[in-house]
Amino acid sequence: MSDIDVKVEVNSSSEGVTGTMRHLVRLLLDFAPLMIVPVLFVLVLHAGSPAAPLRTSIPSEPSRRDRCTWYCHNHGCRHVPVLPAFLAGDKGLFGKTIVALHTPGNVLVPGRPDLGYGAANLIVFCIVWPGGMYALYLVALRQRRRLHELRRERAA
Amino acid sequence: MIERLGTSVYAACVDFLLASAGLAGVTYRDANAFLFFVLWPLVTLTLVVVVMWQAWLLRRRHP
Repeated sequence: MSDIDVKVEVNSSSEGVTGTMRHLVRLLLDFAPLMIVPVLFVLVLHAGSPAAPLRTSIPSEPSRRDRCTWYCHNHGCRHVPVLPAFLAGDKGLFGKTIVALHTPGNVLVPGRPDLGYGAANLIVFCIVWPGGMYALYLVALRQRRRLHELRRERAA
Repeated sequence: MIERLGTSVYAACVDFLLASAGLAGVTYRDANAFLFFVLWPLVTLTLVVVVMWQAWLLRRRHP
């Protein structure tokens, strides 16, 4: 085997390793949000005081002055928000969104407004919107990879 | 079964917001409003701009 053959063979195997590494990095980047977000979610749940248990029903908690509890969700929050009223107020985006979600909720689960509201909430804020953001993220990654390929082709 | 699963997921999300509010020292409304009316719209808008920008670059370099 000549020196040239050895060099070609070494270069091919190093390109193979680089290619595998690149493929692994691509996979990691593609799935990063699907791994990071649930981990952060669980970390925050456990960091709360007290740590939130896995629930099968909507709980009832007494109101507390020092922090918000399930009372604030179930009966309305009496604490003074930090954010301005147009965001966090009853007549702001917060209040209007709650009202707006009841309409599709009544369509989804007629006759059970609480369930319908919860279902509409989950569909919009746990499936459709996050799904849309993840789809955009994947498109952006694909485009970036294509741009890199084109740059490499031009350089070569 | 689906109702219980949905209730569990919904309750976990509310617990997440309550925990976030407690950690940040703000109210439940603040955590809600910040996540859904500030952070997520910003992230979505940023992603849309990035995708449109890169699409334009691709059209320019590879018509």
